[in-house]
Formats: sequence, structure tokens, C-alpha cells
Amino acid sequence: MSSYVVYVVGAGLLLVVGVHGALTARHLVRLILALNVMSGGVFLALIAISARGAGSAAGPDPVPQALVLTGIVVAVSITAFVLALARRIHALSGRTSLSEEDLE
Amino acid sequence: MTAGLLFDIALVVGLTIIAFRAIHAPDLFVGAVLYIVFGLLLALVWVRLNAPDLALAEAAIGAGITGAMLLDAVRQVGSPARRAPVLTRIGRVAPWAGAVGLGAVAAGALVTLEDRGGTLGEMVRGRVAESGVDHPVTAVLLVFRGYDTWLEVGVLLVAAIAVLGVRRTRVLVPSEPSSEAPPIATAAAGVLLPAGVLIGGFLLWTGSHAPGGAFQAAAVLAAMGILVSLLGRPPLASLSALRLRLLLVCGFTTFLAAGVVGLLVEDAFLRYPAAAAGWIITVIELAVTVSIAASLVLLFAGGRDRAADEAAG
Repeated sequence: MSSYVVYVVGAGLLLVVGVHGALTARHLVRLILALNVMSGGVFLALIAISARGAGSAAGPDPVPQALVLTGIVVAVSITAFVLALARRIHALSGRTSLSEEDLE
Repeated sequence: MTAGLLFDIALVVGLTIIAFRAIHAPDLFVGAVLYIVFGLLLALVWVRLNAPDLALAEAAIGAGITGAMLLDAVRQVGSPARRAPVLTRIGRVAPWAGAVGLGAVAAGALVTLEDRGGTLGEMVRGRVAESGVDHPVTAVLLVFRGYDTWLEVGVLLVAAIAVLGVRRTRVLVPSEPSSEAPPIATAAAGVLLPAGVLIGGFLLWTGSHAPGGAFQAAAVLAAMGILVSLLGRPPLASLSALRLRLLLVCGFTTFLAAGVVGLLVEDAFLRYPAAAAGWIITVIELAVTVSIAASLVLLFAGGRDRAADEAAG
């Protein structure tokens, strides 16, 4: 078993936790956390692939690293926007979830 | 089994457990804190996987700024969640089945993925000398895939505009103008601010030949801005709407201008003239750093403008 296998299995596990969270969570902040965990899994898969060629003298592949760096910044933009929306929803309606059952 | 591999396994197991606990923590504040721990562990993973650029960005943006946003949002919307409704057996099992199925397919595909070599990375390494910078990740970001990075700066700009739109405001208003800053935070700011500005500048400069660059530098500078925001004075609040906009768009427009120069001189968008490439990249990075830092501060401080909440509520 190599580090590569450990980390891509880890990427799969983060995807499982994130998707399960996105399907079951109701509170908007929990949904945002689940979304971020899912993107963490995707980033992990990309960087594990980037590091796989590290045995060679050349070092890791910089292209996936640049992609993930872009991804981290996009993720924080989305998080900030969704949090602002969640706060607005809370300020206007007092609700913290979008499911119908919580409407009462 | 080597110690390194054991460490990798422990790290992955820890990441997974903390991610689950962060999403499902009964208290959202605990969830936000656990998410910060998750980001720091992820930064450790990037170090293990030979990606120091990402480790810097993850610790500063993924854990730091996202964490600060979450903690601040939880203070407002973190009302004790209603008890989760009792789910039927299918309601409990189906999400797990779907998630595990998806994760297993993804992990299976990745484990069996062949390492064929001949990657883009080798091409990048072969031609990094032509780019005008020495660090391959910076070369990809600013030169080989400059188009992606330009649009990424655009995403951040759109997010900043959207947050201002949601708040229905054009300028930042200090959220708690009368509140007194806590003495410990004030003292900490006195030590951290000069160091942070220095570190940000260093990261920007070093990005041309070593891990670091515009994003990491901007994240550190933005963290300083957030620290000042927490003391009750958002650093952008004194700016007029026009100046705030200029600060936000300067990265995007400088990048665009460099692209147009490439179009006119070299006949291709974002292709820089070889003689001036190093300088053009430095100017773009400077402008992008200013814009990203301003956008990140705005994304944090713009979201926490409580006066608007009260007016709306």
C-alpha cells in the first residue's frame, strides 16, 4: 500500500462524509460545511495525483497544485456569499434552514 | 509499513472523523471550530504531499479566513437547531448508501488510475525558464494558465459584489462603532499587524522563485484586515464607494490590460513579451494581491454588518 492509495481512499472518505452531510443536514451553516468537506475531498484527489510522480527527481506536478490553489480561493468566495445569504434569510425570516418542514 | 505511511493513515482517519464531527456537531460553534481543525489538518496533508503553496493557502484561507467567517456567522444564525426529526429506517440508510456508493466509485477509479507519465507537469518544468518566473506553480498560475487565474480573480470580484448586493450597501459601515475593543485583541494587533504586513510582502516577493505568491500574500494581508475589523474598525470602511470599487477591480483590470497588451504585441491574449515578462508578472501580482486582500476583507466584514440586519429584521 502506498501513500497514493491512502490519500485517494481518504479523498473518497471525505466525499462520503460531505455528500452524506449535504443530504441529511438542515441548518444552512451545516450545508456549507458539508460543501467545503466535499471540495476538500476533490482537492485531496487532485494533489495525491500530483504527488504520485514525486518519486522522480522532477518533483510534484505543478498543474494540479495551481488548479487547487484556484479552487481554494473559489471555495472561500462561495462560502462567503452563501453565508451572507444565510444571514440575510435569518435576518428577514428568522429561519436557519430551507426545508419545508421547518416552516411550521 | 513505514512510519511515514502510518502517519498518512492516521492523518486521513483523523481528517474523516473531524469532518464528520464538524458537520454534525450539536453546537454549531463547535462545528465551526472543528472545521478550522479540519483545514489545519488538510494543510498538513498538503505538506506531506509536497505542496507547500497549498499548505500556506489552506492554513491562511481554508482554515483561517473561512473559519473566521463561519465563527462570525454562527454568532448570528447559530440558534440552537431544532431537534432533528426522527427519520424512518430508509431515511437514515438512503443518504449513507448514496454517499458511500459515490465515494467508493470515486476512490476505486482513483486507486486503479494508471500512472502513464508524460504529464503536463513535465512540459511545465521543461519550459518554466521561458515564463519569466522560476517557481513552477507561479508560472502555471500567472503565465501558462493565466486565463484561469484571471477569471478566478473575477470570481472573487463577483462574490464581493454579490455580498455587497445582498447587504444592499455600496460601502462598508463599521458594524459596532461604539463598542470598545478588548484589550488583549488590541495588544495582539500591535504585535501581529506589522509582522503580518511584512510576511505578506515577503510571500508576494518570494512567489517568483519559491512557494508563496499573490494568493498567499493576499490571504495574510486580509487576515490583518480582519483582525482590524474585529477591533470595530473595518479597514475599508473609511473609503468612498468609488475608491472601494477601484480597490476591488484593480487586480482584474490590470490582468485584463496585460492580456490586451499581449494581444497587441504578441498577437495572443495574455502572452507577455519575453523581455518584459518578469516585470509584467510582478505588476499583475501586486495588483491582484491588493484586490484579493480587499475582496477577502470585504467578504468577511461585509457579511457581518449588523446594523443592516437590525434594520431589515
